[in-house]
Amino acid sequence: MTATALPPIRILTLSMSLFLLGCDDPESSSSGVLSGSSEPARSDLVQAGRIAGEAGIGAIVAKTGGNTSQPGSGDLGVLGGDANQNQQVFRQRFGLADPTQDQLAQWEEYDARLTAYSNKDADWPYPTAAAENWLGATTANGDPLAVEGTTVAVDFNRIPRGSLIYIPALAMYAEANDTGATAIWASADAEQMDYDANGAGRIDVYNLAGDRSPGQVEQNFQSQVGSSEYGQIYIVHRGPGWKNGGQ
Amino acid sequence: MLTLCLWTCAATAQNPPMTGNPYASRGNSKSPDGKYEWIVRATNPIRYELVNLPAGKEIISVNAYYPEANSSNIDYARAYGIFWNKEGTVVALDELNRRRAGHLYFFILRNGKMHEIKLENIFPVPSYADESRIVVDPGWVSGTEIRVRQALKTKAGEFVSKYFTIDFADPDHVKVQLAW
Repeated sequence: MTATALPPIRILTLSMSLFLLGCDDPESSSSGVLSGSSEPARSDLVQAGRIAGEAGIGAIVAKTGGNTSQPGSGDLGVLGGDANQNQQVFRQRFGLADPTQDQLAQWEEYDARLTAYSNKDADWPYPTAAAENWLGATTANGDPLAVEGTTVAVDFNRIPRGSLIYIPALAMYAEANDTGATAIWASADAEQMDYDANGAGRIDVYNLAGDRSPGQVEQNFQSQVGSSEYGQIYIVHRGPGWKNGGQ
Repeated sequence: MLTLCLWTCAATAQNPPMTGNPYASRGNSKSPDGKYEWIVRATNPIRYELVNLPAGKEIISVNAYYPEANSSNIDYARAYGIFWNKEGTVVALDELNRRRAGHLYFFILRNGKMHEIKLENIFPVPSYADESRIVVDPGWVSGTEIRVRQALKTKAGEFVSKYFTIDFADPDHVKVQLAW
């Protein structure tokens, strides 16, 4: 059972039928986003427009123009225009500060693969979080919005839903309230360090893309965390109980 | 008629849906003859069961992609798509494609028993891809052929779609062909 080419006449017939019927999705030449594809939700468009008008452009341009922040510097602008502000509000609300060495020693340290996702995913043109986030926001389709600067998607089989984690490469606290394609991740990464006994799997960090293409989001993120996407994360608290100490 | 069928399929079978409630189910859970129905069991683990309705008997079941029984996973599981061919001999169970999560299963009905066709070996993940998912898109294009889309996220973070038809005319030798 292998893939073989259709006879030209069948290809022509099928493709013409689908073209005429509008069955096929349009391609995007600028971003490389193909079908299935990615018309962002209205709320994301509004948010993206605001970012473009505020700090987003400046943050991104600065990082690609030779003035790149060092990993762990705490500048999360690459994740979207409000990422720094969101991180600060998140820290204030739950009493979080930069961890000391003693605290780091007490938290569970895991190998992780740090990857990026954004609101421009061709396979989910909707607001994208699977569980209620720290803001408690819920959108029309039942999913709370992801929040740039505080939201990560994880494999819930390795990190319980709602856990609080700390990512040293970004100097970022995050709530594990989104879920990715976990079985696909586990299969693809099975022989790699992030899925061994001390692995936390992928930590997929949410970015509000703004004017950036998905590829630019990926490049910006990898520049921020360093040349290798493998790093460490700390699980500060397993599960959502840490929120009890907040307001 | 074929045009209407294709248009209807395209309008209803995109995965994920491009319009409307993304968590609405797709296709038809009942077989064309009304004898079989796929049912979501929201117990732990969440699973899909094919039931022989007259006999009240489970024929086959598979776990949902996110099997832990909580509200978001139950919503996800109920957003499944079921696509029977017109003869009711082949059925596709297409879980919701949420950022490439979920599985696509094919089952062939023979003598009252369902046999699963494994897709993993048919659609290898290209070396440039970081994530891959096969979805029904838009559905059956003939009595034996169904068109699917391979949704890829590349290692560079871009998205690519490839289309194929799967021909079940000979269930023992399923053919996969590149399509548009």
